[in-house]
Amino acid sequence: MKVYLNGKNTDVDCFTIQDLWNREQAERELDSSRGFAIARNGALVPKREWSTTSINTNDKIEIVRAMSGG
Amino acid sequence: MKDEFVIAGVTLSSRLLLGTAGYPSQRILRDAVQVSGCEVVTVSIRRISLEGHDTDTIDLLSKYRLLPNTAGCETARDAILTAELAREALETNWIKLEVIGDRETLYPDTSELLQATRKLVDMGFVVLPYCNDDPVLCMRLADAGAAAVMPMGSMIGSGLGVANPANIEHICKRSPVPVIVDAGIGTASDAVIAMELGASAVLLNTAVAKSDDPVLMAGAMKHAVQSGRLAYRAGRIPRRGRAEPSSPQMGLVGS
Repeated sequence: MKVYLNGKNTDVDCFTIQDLWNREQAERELDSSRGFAIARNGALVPKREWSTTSINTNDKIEIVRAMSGG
Repeated sequence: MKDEFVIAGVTLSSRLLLGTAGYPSQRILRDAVQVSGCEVVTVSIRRISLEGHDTDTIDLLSKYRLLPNTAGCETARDAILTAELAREALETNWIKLEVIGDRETLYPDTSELLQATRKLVDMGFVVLPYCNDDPVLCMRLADAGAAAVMPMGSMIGSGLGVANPANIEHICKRSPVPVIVDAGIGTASDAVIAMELGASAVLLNTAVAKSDDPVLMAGAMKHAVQSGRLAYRAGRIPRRGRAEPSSPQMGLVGS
């Protein structure tokens, strides 16, 4: 399915936000999602709703994390 | 004697808040934050690199209260979404609100800033807006429910110090919420001046991160903020246009 992930056209094999996160978490070998958050089509998706939020074609998804900043 | 200040019911004993961007290495960042004695550090919220290139700074800062920012946002809408993402990512409702109106000067867009402050306060955030050194704007932000106001010393990253000390002094005298001078600090004496003018605290980043020795400068800033605060509390002498001898005038030898 084609989505815009962090501004890039991306083909993802995920049905829910949770699936997408699981993929990222495994790739990054993370213990938890602390420091990360996800928005879909301009709105925050709270972590408790990740598993029930489906991903649709052409969704704009942003995965963000806390980083150094001023 | 303790000289603490309070933001939204949280008592802070260090009056220095430190940014975490632009340090030569993670180790230097960690050491500088430690030496500064600060309790609050700022972080940003950014898209992850899909190639996995970004690094984890948060683990390094787990001892400190994190103050996420909305740096780079140019509209109230983007700043509000960034604040929501920050709250979800870091489980804090504190937000350093930046809404930038001009990329050249990084001056705030004041109408978007006020609008975002009102909305975020309604949403339960503790809002610390980065703002102009404008006494009226600072009053409006406090009226809107900001937990502190953060007027700029001068432009972000400029190192020009406190450009308008009279304004900062006005703001400090009249503000019902803590005043944190944010941005423009270039070296320790600038932080002293901000504190002498009555600021509750100083927030700085580049002056430490980009100095030749960030850990040494972090220590200098710690002392500067303490020194400026003590001088403010002690009260400076009035400026005079003529000399005033400090030694006694009676009993001069040869008189």
